[in-house]
Amino acid sequence: MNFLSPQRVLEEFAATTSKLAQGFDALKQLDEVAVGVAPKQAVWKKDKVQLLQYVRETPATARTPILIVYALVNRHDMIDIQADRSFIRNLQAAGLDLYLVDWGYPTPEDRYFTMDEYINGYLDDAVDVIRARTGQPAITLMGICQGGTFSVIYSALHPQKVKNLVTLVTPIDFATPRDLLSKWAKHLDVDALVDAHGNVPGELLNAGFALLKPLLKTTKYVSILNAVDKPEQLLNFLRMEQWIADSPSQAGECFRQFVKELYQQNRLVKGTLELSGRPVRLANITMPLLNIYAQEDHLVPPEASIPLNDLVGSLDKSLTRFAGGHIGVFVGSRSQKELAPGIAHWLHERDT
Amino acid sequence: MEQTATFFDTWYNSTAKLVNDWREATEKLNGEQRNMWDEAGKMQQNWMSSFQSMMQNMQLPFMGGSGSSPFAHSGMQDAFFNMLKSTDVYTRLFQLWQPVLQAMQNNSFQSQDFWKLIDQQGFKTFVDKLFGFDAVTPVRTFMDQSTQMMKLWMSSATEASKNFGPMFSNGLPFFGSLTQLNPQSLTQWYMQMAQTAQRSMAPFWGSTDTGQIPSMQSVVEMMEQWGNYMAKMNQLQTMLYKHSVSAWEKVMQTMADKAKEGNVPTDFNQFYNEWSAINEAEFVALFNTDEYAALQGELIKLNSEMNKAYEKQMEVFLQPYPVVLRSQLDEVYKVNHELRGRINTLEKLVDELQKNKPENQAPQNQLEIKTPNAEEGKPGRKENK
Repeated sequence: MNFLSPQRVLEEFAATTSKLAQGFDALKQLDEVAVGVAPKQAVWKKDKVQLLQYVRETPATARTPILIVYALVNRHDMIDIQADRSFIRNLQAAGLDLYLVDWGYPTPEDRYFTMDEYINGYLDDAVDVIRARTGQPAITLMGICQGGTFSVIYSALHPQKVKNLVTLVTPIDFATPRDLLSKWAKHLDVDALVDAHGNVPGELLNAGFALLKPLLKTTKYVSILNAVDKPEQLLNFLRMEQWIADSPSQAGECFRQFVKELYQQNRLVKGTLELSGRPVRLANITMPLLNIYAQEDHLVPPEASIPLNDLVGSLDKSLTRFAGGHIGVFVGSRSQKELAPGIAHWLHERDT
Repeated sequence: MEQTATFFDTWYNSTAKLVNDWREATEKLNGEQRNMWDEAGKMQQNWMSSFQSMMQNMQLPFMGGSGSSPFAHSGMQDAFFNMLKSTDVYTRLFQLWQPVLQAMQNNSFQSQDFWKLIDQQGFKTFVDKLFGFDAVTPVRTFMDQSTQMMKLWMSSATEASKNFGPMFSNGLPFFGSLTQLNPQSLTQWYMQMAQTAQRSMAPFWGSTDTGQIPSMQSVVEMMEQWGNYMAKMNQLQTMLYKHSVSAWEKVMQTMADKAKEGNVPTDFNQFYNEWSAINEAEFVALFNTDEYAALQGELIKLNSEMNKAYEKQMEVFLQPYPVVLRSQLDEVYKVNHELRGRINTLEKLVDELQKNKPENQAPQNQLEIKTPNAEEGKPGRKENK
């Protein structure tokens, strides 16, 4: 333990202070770091929700358009975090025509929006817009995390409009032993929370997510001090931090319903979930299904995603394990080479 | 703004000198000096002291959001603040463990002496900082938001608010105390607020059905809630301290075993990684217990109820004034939401009717896709199909 000599102790403190000063200087010179910059255009808008189409330079090689449905929690920029780590650009490069629902940032006037209105309202509208624009009777729905849950529910209610269903890191079974969020949700008085706040603040959710890995923040900020003189590495870090901090509030009623009926009552797998008075039966999902989960996912453990394949009515269904965590599956270096090309290959095979 | 920029620039410029001074001092130290650990300890203490001072100085303008930050973007400001906080935790850990590691290095370590070598108050402060009990961020945010709301309300009030406005401003310093979770300050602030409000609003209260007694009752209720919240928060802190003790003892045992095998970390970062892995596993295990989840749930519930009671109390104070209250806005939002839903339903109906007109009916072989009207911003659910 030579690092405990007085000389080394002082050197360590001097080095830390020096790095902090360098960090201060580097950060002072930076403006906002750009995320989610793949070219796109809004093709439809209702209230705060937009349908975006990613601009292609060449015609798509697959006929069926794809609608990406991201979670209401955090923003979709994570899948286009930077040019060389972009799930979006990789899907585009593989020949796909991409659309995305941008849920926007709910304000207090949106507190009464329900899960039904998000799924049977906005999402259904977005699907119809794409069907009309492309002339395709059914589209590919690609849901991520909570957006995956929404996509599954939508596919069960409107199977005729969904040609293929792709789910990524999607919670389906909300009562699995390693699921900390599920454990916490069981003891959450969501009525008290929503009644007090209206919309549930994004900061509150982020504080909860941080507790899932309580030492991660300290560790990563200590580590990044070693990269304050490496602009590319620092910028990569800052992009991810910016994405994490960009956490919209959750429309109160939708949050209440999601926590109560899914996290607390696990109605989706029990077959007791209803939207607009209609039962959500996973057996109604008969289109081809590609279900991808992340092996080291601490937010949506694999056991929460895997059961989907046993519950749907699809005959053509694939379950794919991907190394990495909830976010790493999209931004990791292996993902750039394998995830999007793999999905595109699966879709091309079914693009008849 | 200039003052803040000067502060930061001064700090930045003086850092280089500080580092050079340390390096010079380090060179002066040599193995023959019997008090070299004392010297190093003093310098370390000085560093920590100046670091803490800097942290405290920085928190005020950062939290104020008054545009006084030297950073061009709030994200960079947050990043630097997180760097400082993390460095604070990292260096405190170093300081706390140094005597233990030193004893291990000298082969004089006895496991039963572990807690004698750790500074108890430093340990508590460390755990508080690690889990954010020092900044009490949620309370601060809650108070900041409430203050902001009050300012908005007051800015839209008429002449009648003239007395109330200064009173509220005078009350603002108490928020600083509140963020330290000091119930006495809360009582004092509310009493002052209630007394001043009573004086300035008496004519209005006379004409409303929300008088002094209901107002004071609600203050008492809120104080009770605050007390309950504090009791639960104490439970949570105690739970975290206990698990930290257990985790640290595991780290100690791991390090002692490694020391016996001659397999010791060669730098502090290696030690930190070992410490971090063990602590994270311990805390994740704790967070996955029903006991923790239930306590966390109770705290969130109490916090929510306090938030609601606070809002209610503010509305009681503000009711005589010609300002729009949050509960009234919520009612408007609710009605708007219902109306928009009905409009949406009617639009769908019109679309259906238009499509069913004979001249609009598509030939049998033509694909029929219903398209939402892109121009109209109506929300929500469609009718069941």
